[in-house]
Amino acid sequence: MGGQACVLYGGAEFSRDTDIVIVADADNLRRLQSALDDLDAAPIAVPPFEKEHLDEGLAVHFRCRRPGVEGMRVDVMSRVRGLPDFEMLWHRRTTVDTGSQTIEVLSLQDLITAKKTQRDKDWPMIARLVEAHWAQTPRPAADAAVEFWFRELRSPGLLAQLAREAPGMCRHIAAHRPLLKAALDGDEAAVTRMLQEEQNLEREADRAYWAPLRGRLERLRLDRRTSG
Amino acid sequence: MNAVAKLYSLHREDEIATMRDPQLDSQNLLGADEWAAWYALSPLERLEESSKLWQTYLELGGSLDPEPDTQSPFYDPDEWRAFALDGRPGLRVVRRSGI
Repeated sequence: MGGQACVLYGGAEFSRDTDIVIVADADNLRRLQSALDDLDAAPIAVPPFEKEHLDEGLAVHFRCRRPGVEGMRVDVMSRVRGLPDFEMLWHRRTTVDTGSQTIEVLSLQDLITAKKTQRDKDWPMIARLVEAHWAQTPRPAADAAVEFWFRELRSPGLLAQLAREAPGMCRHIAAHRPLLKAALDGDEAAVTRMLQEEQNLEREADRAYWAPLRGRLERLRLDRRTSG
Repeated sequence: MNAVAKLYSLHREDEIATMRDPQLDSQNLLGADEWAAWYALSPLERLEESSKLWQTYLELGGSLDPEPDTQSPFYDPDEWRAFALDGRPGLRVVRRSGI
């Protein structure tokens, strides 16, 4: 669901870990443990690999020790801020066939939602992913694609261009994304400012979401230090 | 420029963009020939190019440890200090400028 998914969709990410989202039921956790055993992967830091922590929304981090993948990090989550449950993520997933294997990744929309975090580095990636979709989509584009661009594009020039090409849909979606009114007016400076405001709000929401979970992680770290 | 160098330059461009205003930077990206070429690749071709970068990185002695991400909710400075002491090889700087 992380860097590799970004590359498949058109981002240029050099990610040194593998992020996996799973359904955290007992059977699946056993299967995952078996796969991790194949990689000789051990949990690092906190939390420990337990269903309770995945259900809380924490990620469990592993480091592989098997020769060939020695040192590789695997991060496992079962809940991601802003995303629906696993069943829906699986239903909406993208499957890429490499010829020798199939790779299942989050849908583009879900990947973009997952990237709306407090981290600086995620925001240029979101812009890239939507621009890539814009560039790769044959014309004329379906309404669903145009609506997706209106909701997610982060490039003022492209938003202004799209507003000129589809003003009716732009006005309709502007009720949900106010900066589209500025795009309709061709005011790219205002669009740029409002994109930053939009980003600031999302980052603040992400920080608020993580505040109690960070507290939980701190307590787990403290417990580990005092017990070990 | 070969594909690996091109991918690295694209990645560096995004790293630099992170330090500037992402919106201002992304305005002009679609027009860049290298980005257009990258977008035009199939998902599989992008995965293959990315894998080549991995090979180069590992041959240069790069570590698989992710870089410390101080903005991640999971960032623990003590964890990173511990890994810095484990002696695993990373990319070693052999010369740098004065800054």
